[in-house]
Amino acid sequence: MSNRLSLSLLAVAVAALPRVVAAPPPLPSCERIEQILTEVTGSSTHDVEHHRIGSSAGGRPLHAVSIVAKGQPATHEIVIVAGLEGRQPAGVLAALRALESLAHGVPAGIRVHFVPLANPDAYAAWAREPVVPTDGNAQPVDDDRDWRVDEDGPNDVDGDGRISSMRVIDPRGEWVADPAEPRLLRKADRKQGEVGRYRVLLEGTDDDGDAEINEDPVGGIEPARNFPHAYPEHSAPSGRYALEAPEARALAEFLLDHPNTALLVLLSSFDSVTQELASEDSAGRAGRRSRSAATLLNADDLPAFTTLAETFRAAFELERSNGKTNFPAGDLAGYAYFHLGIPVVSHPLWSVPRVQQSGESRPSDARPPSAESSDGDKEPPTPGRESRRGRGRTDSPPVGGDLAGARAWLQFADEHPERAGFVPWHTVAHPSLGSVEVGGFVPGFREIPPAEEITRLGVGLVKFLSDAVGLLPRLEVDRIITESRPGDIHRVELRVRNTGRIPLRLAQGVINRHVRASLVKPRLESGTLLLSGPTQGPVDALAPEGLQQFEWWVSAPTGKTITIDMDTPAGTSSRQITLGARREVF
Amino acid sequence: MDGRNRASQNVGCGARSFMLLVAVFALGLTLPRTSETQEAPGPTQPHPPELTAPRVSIAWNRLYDEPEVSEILRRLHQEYPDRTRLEAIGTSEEGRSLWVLVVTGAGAASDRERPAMWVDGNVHGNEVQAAETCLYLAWYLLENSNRVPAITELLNRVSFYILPMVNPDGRAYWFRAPNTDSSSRSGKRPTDNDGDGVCDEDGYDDLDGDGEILQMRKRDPLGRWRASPEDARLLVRAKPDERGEWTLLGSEGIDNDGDGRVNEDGPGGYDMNRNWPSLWMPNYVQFGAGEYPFSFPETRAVGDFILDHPNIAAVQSFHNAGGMILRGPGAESFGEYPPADVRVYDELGKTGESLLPFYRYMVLWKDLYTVYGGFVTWTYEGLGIFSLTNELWTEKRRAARTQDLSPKERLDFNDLLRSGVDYRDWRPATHPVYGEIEIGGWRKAAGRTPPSFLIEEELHRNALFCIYHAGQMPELAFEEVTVTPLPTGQHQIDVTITNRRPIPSISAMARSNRIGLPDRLELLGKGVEIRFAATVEDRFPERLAPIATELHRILNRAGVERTQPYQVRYLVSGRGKVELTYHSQKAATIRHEVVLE
Repeated sequence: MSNRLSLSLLAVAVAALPRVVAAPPPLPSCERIEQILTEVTGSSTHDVEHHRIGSSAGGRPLHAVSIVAKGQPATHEIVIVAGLEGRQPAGVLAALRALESLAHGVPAGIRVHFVPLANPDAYAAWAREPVVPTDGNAQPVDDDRDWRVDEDGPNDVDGDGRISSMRVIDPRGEWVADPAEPRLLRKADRKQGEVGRYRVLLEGTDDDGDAEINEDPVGGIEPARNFPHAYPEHSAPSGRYALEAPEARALAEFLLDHPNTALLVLLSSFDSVTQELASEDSAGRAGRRSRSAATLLNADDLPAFTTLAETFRAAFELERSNGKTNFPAGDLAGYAYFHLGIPVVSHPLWSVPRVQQSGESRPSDARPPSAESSDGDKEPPTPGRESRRGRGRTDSPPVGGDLAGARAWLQFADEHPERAGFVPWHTVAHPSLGSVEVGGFVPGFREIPPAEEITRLGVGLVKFLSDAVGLLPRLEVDRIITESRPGDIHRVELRVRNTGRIPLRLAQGVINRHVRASLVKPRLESGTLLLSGPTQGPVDALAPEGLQQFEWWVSAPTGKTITIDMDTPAGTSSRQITLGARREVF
Repeated sequence: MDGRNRASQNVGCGARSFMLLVAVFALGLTLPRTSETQEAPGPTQPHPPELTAPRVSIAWNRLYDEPEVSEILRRLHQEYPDRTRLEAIGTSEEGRSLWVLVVTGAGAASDRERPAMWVDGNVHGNEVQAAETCLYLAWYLLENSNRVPAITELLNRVSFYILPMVNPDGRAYWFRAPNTDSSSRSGKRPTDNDGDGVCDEDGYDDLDGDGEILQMRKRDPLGRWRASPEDARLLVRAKPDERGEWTLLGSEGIDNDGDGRVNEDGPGGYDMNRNWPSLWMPNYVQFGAGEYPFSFPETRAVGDFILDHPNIAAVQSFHNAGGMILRGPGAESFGEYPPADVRVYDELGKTGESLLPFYRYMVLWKDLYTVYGGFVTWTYEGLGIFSLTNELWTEKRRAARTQDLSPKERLDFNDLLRSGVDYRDWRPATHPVYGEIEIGGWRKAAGRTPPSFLIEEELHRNALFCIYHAGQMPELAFEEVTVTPLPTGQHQIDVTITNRRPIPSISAMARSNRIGLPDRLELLGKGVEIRFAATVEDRFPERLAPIATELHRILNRAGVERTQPYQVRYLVSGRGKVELTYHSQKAATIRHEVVLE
């Protein structure tokens, strides 16, 4: 695109005056969410427990609600975590809706633990004026290391009650207007000789007189970057050490306290559903430096993750995309899988609308930011998409969106003028930058789904949970054979089977030794003697429909019994076998 | 200098005199009173160089059980309340207090407003003399402060945070329960080491009830061991053409949980020195790492304390054994440390080698083994603090030679210099599974700890190495402040700040990883306006880097190195008193006043 064209489009945009824009749809407050949880607990027809599992950095309670069908034993536990990122409120709303539904109809055999608001400090930012969406908790952090804390955050420069973006004409800028949609910006393609026109930064001023803008906003550590998996040390939003954020630590402790967790459902920006996870086979592992932690999905676990993703996509009517993705550094998903061996499914639920010709829209399998995408595809810093790491550097690479997504959002905004999602660029006098343009997406427009979508997302989550129960591994006795030999010698054979659709233990769970093996233990009556066979036989990881055989030789008078205990993390079951019959098959 | 009014000049030689002092100690000589030491601050009446009547009398030729260590700390604090604070920074898994003795100079306003050294020991419960080394350090500092000028001067400048027992549970268990020299390394959180869902159910068993965990052997014509011709107590491997007499069966124990394995899930079963945050790796990569960094109450308490004391500028951790002065990196994958910091480390390490006979200055991963999540790697890589681990005691000290003792020589040492108490000869016993066996071997205090008559020297040398290290912490000064009247009626103020010690106010590691806060130079004066300020980047020829904003409050993100003074030039208008203040997290705040006439 020529500079002349860019300028003319800019001129059109600048000529537009700011509209009076409605606030984003209201979100329930943290206090209201606590009230909802109390109400659900009180009115449920099932066994429901409401725990406080910790406190946020800002002192807000961290809640967990556990539901199990009344009078039914639970063999598996499923943990659902939402709101770990403040900029993902859709998951919080969907989890609450699903919780309200499950409180009156939870599937048998599972205990579901909801942590519906894992980072309430960040969520509470939606209730402040002006709204500055954040993933950070309320822990004070001196981002610019100037001995002053949280003293230079964004400011409402144009006085419209919102924090939008600012673009400043600057020959050193890296951004140009998108030729297809000049209200949007993209990176100048320097390889093609294109020259940048704008610097782009969040709406704000230099509050502390250090010539930097917005470089030390309020808070905090981002709990979703604070877990020990591939922990990004020395990266400001990740904290000083893994699990420094009390929110992250509370979740880690919660999972450690529930070693029988068979599935973690994470409603976050990480999408393990529409894209395939990059994996590493045994040759790849062998090639890795010895004694280093895995960062790619174990290829042996790919079928299980694929099955979970397929089930999730079916529940939400999502489509699969072609790209590959990987566990983000420092995220809960990676900690749960790599360190604890827990199967994980993670999705933001609400993302870029697939805008249709008719004007109808619904959330789709939006393309998440990809490492492969070129800079030109990326979206400039906006309130909902700003990188903490980039603060203080006005032309830092943005994260959290791409240009194609931004185009879709803009079209969605145009088709839904009642949502007032985009502020046209308008000129404002800035105290230190001179004349700037303020505009862009309204905070909350892209993050908070319409009310009817929340209901749909809640229904989808309940459907996924119901479907997922059938996938979970189950260790069952496949057959028992006994044979007797002369001299009161007996051979006992036990075969067990995994009747679920994901392995009894993930390959990574075997490697990290965190998921303990089930044990098959023979118990003998007095007067009998075990000649051979394991006293505590560990059961293998067992893929779906996988079988494993155990054998014991016993010296015992006919009529004596041997009891086989199957000691699983979910509990112990027993089978008593009478010795003496020549051959029995169960 | 023509036309300039030198307002202040501070040039000292404290560092050199202190080095000399250490060198004298290293030679094992009685400290002479040199003219330099006589000039140092101290009492007017000279004291004898040797401490003949300590206020707290402690026998330094023995080891102390966990309550005794705490009691010694209390006694030191009671005797020296003006220069100590005894602080329980947390509690262990079993509820024991983690006692930190804060040692400062008498009358110090705060331990925080000055550089401080963290010294700890005994994170591994069995590595016991580490605690005595910490105690000796505290005792030596206190008994000699206000008595020996070098110590008085040091304590007037720095603080010490001394935690003798990071792992008091492990120590208590090592002392009171049957153990080997290497067992009870862990803390006491119940842990399922063998993956059977049960914690700590199959540890050692004192089969013969003698309070020891020794070795088991069984007479076995198919065995591959036989009595040594040198000494029948020793076993040697039978040659391929020889018949053996014995099979070795490991440490005393039985299969308590019936899983076919012996001693595979004893008390605890983790390693708190793999539980620190930098380059922490999960348990399947690094045994004993815990579920996440600071997952144990002991490591968390230490972590919280250190993070809350950014004035800590030096760290020393004591372990046993091997005679090593260790620095990171703990893993090859980290890469090498910044060259400027390696130079400081080398200076510390080489001096340590000169103070500690048979000790070697080593890099953990390269010269010993890979350690992920280690303590001193965290305090340096995570916090930018120069940090060392000493592995106390080396067998070479028994014979005072570089060559290791042979097994026979070690037995002779025990027989002749220890009256045979460290080794228990083989005695018959009955094992529930193996039948008739014999039990014997080296006792727990025989391998990794010095014999009693060598303990004090070991403690003294290592404590004095700490004192040397502490002396290297940053000491900043306004080396030169000159005020030059200008023809415009304004004044030019040139400020030079130096660091007299090898440890910089901000390490290269801290600088490159944006750790901690930068240093800060402030200029304040009523009626005085700063018109221009610049740092002096080069002196010959002079090159200035103008400061754009906040001229009264300049951040120095590079810190001050011994060889790299920090220089700033101001142009100011107005008259009156001007106060210059330089703040650094790892050095005492310094102030200087000039008057603009």
